[in-house]
Amino acid sequence: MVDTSARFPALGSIAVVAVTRPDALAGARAAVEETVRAFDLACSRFREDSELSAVNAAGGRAVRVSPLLLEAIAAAVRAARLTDGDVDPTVGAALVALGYDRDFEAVRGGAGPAPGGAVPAPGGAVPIPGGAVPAPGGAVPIPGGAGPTVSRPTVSLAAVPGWRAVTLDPVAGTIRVPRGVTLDLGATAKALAADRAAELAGASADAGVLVSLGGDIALAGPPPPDGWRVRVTDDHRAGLSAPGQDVTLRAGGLATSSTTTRRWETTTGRVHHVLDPGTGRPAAGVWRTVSVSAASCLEANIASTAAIVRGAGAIPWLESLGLPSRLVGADGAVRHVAGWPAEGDDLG
Amino acid sequence: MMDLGRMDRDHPDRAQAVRERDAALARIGRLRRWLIGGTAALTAGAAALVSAVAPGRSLGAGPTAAKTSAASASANADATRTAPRLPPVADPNTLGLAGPAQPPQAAPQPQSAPAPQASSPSDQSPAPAPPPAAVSGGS
Repeated sequence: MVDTSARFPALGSIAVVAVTRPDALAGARAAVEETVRAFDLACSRFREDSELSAVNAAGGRAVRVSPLLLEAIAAAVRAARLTDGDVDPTVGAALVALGYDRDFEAVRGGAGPAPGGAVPAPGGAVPIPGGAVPAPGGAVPIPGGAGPTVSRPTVSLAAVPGWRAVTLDPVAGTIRVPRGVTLDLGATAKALAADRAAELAGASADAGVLVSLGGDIALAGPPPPDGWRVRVTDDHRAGLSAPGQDVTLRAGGLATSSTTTRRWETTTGRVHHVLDPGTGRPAAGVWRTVSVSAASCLEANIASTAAIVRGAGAIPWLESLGLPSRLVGADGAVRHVAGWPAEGDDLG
Repeated sequence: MMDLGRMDRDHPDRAQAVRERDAALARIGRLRRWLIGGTAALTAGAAALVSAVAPGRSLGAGPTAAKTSAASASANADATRTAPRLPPVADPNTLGLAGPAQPPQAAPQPQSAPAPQASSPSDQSPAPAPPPAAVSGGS
């Protein structure tokens, strides 16, 4: 049997490339890997050699950046504008204050704070009231656990400065963020990378292409006759039979945001990565998972992330935008809006 | 109110003086109204003329400002030549969150493969649905 898809690790998650013609797979995969490498080098908050790290460390000075990072930050700022700040790239310091200061596998594995990481943001971080007593190095025993001591970050809160603090000069090709502001492009850069990877792969392979980066899916080129079959569930690492729903896609993008993934232990309990910029805390858990279909993966990701933050207000918002969406409540109840198909949904 | 008839009879010179004074005040009032109206009309006319002759200019756009603008335009042109390629200008449809060209459809339920002994060329069931190409979930 000839393969028409490939899976490989990318951007701290799993990438999938699927093509409509088997002979196009190698070229499509190469295009996706090239795009992923470029985005990682430009947009990673955890690589010291990334352009984003240079911007965050510039101490308020304007930094000349590549067109790729310029586009990624412009996309993040646009996301903030379109969502009234519910999806905001300036949450970096708040994530660091919550302990998400290095690659997530290291955070989940309790590898201890990164050098210089997990430090309260300058002037912005305060301990959570009622929080646990800080332990040296963040190492505390797991309650009730008999195992070894595991490092967990001491939680603090950092104010989110807001996307208007970002100064983007497209003519000069520079980005400036005030001292103490840390950009995090996790909410949008991966989806943008999926869009760009699908475009490049589709063009280079001259075939229909599906690209999934961590469950954010972008399509390019002509789809298969029956469309692309996609499983929609809580975690993109779950198997094809995980509780959820199968849908078929023919164009655009599909993104899923979930509070069930990228969760980690802190001294005050488990937290997740979808922050409410208004509070600097993880978004309240009205929805555990939101999937949105849109014209592109980036558009879909902006809407799905904002929906998690908006809570109950997400349903009328998504309806008003006409974005087909599937929302799974904290209790497992599923809501479909704006034309999302209802058949075959067995998640509960 | 003065009784001018009685004043005419009692003090003819004084009444004459009052009439002359009132007439002079009336002339001054008319002249002042004409001056105000004329000034407004002249100002409007001058503004219209300047707008027509030099649209988009301000009082600050003197020779120095013009020189600065020219230098800025030149610098911008240089920057444009050396600046990195920018994303294409967004069209109105992309200024907001845009829905898909085609919404997702419900995928057909997977079919069980027919038992080998029951199959024949004439009653074959439809081919089983392909497995999903990808999983969309949180990461």
